Amino acid sequence: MMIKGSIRCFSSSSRALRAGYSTVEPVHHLVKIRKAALKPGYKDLLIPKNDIRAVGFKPEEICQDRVHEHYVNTIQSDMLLHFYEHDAKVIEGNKKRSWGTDSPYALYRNLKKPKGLSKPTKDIHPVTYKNIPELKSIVINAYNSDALDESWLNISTKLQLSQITNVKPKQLYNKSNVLPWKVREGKPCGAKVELTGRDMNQFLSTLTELVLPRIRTFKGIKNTSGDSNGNISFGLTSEDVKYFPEIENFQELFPNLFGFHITFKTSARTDEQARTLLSSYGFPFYNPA
Amino acid sequence: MLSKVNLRAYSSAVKPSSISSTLLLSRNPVITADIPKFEDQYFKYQNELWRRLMWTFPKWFYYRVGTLSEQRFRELNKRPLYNNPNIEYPRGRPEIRQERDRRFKQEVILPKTYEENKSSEDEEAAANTSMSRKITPNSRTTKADESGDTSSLERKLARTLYLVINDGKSWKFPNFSLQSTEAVKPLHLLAEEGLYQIGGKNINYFNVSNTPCHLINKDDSKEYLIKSHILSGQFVPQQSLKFMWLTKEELSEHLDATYFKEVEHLLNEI
Repeated sequence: MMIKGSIRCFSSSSRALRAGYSTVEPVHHLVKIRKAALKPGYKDLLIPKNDIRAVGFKPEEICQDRVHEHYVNTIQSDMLLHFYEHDAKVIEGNKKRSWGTDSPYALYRNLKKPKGLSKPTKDIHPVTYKNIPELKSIVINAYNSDALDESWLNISTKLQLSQITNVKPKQLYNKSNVLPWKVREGKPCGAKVELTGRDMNQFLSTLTELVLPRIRTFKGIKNTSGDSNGNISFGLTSEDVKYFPEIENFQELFPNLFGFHITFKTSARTDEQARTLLSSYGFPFYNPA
Repeated sequence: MLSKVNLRAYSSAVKPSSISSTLLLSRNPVITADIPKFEDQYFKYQNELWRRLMWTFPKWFYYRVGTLSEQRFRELNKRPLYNNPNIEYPRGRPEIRQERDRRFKQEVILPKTYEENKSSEDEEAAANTSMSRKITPNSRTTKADESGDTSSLERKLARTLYLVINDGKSWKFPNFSLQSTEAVKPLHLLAEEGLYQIGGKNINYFNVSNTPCHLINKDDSKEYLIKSHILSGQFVPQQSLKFMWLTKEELSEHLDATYFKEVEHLLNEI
């Protein structure tokens, strides 16, 4: 091996074996960058898991995706027609406002809050072939307050989620201190998992075909649900969770079951569009009294 | 001269054109699409790869030691070849971890929830009662496919089917025009009433939008196409009308060539 540089070394191996280093210029002295994580040796870890070059390669396209086929073949073109509006215009969202240009003090000042609201809202574009609402991901959030007392219940929660979804869940931690509830910052309190792609579609069909039809008290998702940005959520209790076939057939293995919240993240811009999308996947909706 | 022709007048004395509404009633695919052989092989290959790379089945979790189910599981799944250090293995040394040979994919045989070698009558009786019955998928082809019955809704389950009717002269999509004596009606209602008239009320259908999906503009007529899906029920012809449920390819054979070219892009490939 050739030695770079002109300085003579007694050993060439020490230089060759030295770990790579990053040449990232500091962005700002206040922005912390863990440079160790940018080591070229870690680059392989950034390759997505469904790529054959990835370290933990896991083939994803192992069979036909029924739900995705339905979306592409039927739902997509229907949604385009359904949301067609003649002479549709972009509905502008409530934006942050300028402080005006009359004062030099306002030049670099943070923008003023939007009128009447604390948060700015996004523009609503008419639906064209480019932005047909699509289900991006499903987030299952199982906050477990029982786990604050008995921390081993965190393991049960994670096990239950991974059993249902086939994806490794993430541990949740409390963010704030509320002493009457025994909530302390940094305390583990349940788990969450974000499903995309095939796992999401599998979960979706299990939910609409096997679980929800068997829940007697289930009327549908509330029409009032939604964050007005096209994300809709509803909850399942620990009683309802029993109907997942993965749990139903191994009931003695899951003595502690926990309910969770399911959030559908869609690329729809309004809740109305998101509801239409979800109902085309087979979710019923109802008006709460 | 040219600019005069293009100039838009405030009013013009055109002939009153007849407005009609055409129903594009489709039955959506019931089963997964037929895929090319290559794609099928790709899925099979990926599936095998997935099984090969899969983690060892945690039998210690699902089948607890000392239970009856564990005993049944043990009977079905024999231990792999023991890695004896004193033996030379010509086909490679077994790599045993957690009672699994890591050189190969793990094949887990689960105890059946139903009894094998039962008579068909017993099975049928059990099928209606037991949740743990054997699941046998239905055939992808149906009776209607075999007999070539084009008026059945149960043909070509993997494809989108469209309703066409025969008015004695040619095959076409059901078209309904407004009678001059009637009051003006929205296009989708015109299509709905017309459908119930020719096909009976026994149809549960979903109208995708009140907006037509296409307009065929002719000199003396405007034909609007209304898209909808049949969800349940049957099309039962009322006045000895001939009708068919056809796929896109079959439509190209039965419809008028210029008409088909006009509506081709509206029809589903799958």
